[in-house]
Amino acid sequence: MSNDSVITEEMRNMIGLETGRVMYDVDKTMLRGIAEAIDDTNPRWLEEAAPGFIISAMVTGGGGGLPESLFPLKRMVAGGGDWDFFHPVKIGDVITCTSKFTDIYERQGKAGTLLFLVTETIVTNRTGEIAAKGKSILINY
Amino acid sequence: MEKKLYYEDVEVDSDIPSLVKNPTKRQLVRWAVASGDLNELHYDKDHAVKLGFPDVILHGRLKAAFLGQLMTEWIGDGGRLKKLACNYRGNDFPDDEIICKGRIINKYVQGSDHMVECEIWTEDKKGNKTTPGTAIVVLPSKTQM
Repeated sequence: MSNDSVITEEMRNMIGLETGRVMYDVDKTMLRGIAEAIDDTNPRWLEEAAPGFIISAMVTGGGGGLPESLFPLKRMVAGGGDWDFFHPVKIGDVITCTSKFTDIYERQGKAGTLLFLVTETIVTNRTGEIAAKGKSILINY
Repeated sequence: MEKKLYYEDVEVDSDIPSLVKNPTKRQLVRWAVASGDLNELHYDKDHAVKLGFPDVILHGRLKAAFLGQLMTEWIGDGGRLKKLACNYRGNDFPDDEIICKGRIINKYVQGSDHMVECEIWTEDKKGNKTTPGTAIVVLPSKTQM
């Protein structure tokens, strides 16, 4: 087994790169779609975003815009995530989700090298207040 | 009337009420569309098999969303989910029951916030913790009434 790093200087230099910026008008259809997909029947989630809305890939996915050169290995899997909820997102809110590539590291696993790619997304509302943050880890192996 | 959960009601080392989920393939398609994650691994079995999986698997984020529901159902409208984190450690498949569970590991006051920290996870029918994580909630306190 080789212990050579798969992380190049060029990959490391991409830390800080903006990988996505998307804006949503939060409406009832969007919130209902999420609540129905989770199968959470609390009527609260037709007016206010359920945690699952913030968790969803369209809001805090962020990794979609990572350049292919950051994935030198064959396969990709989502490793996990964490989310901070600061202010409720409600119907009528306009939110902006800005994602950045923030970290890269590797570990040796049973299947060989595991490359971890971290993206972080900040969700702001119309007044510029941070409503939520999300961090996602993708594993290339 | 629903009973409001207060900080004083919560004891470290006690369990939070479990949430049973029975996700179907239809539900995975709904989540794919609603959440914007159209990776075929979650609805196209041929694609999943090609990648070495026996069937399509649940989205990690859907399981994280289930854990979000676990927390919000427990704390009710009086509490606030502050943080949720989890790892997508094991695969779960449609038509297999998963149970969302949690245990209180710490409680403390920070400023005026009464915080409760929980260990949370999804458990498959074999008892494997497939999505282990943590959550922090803020609860109302009887001292603030």
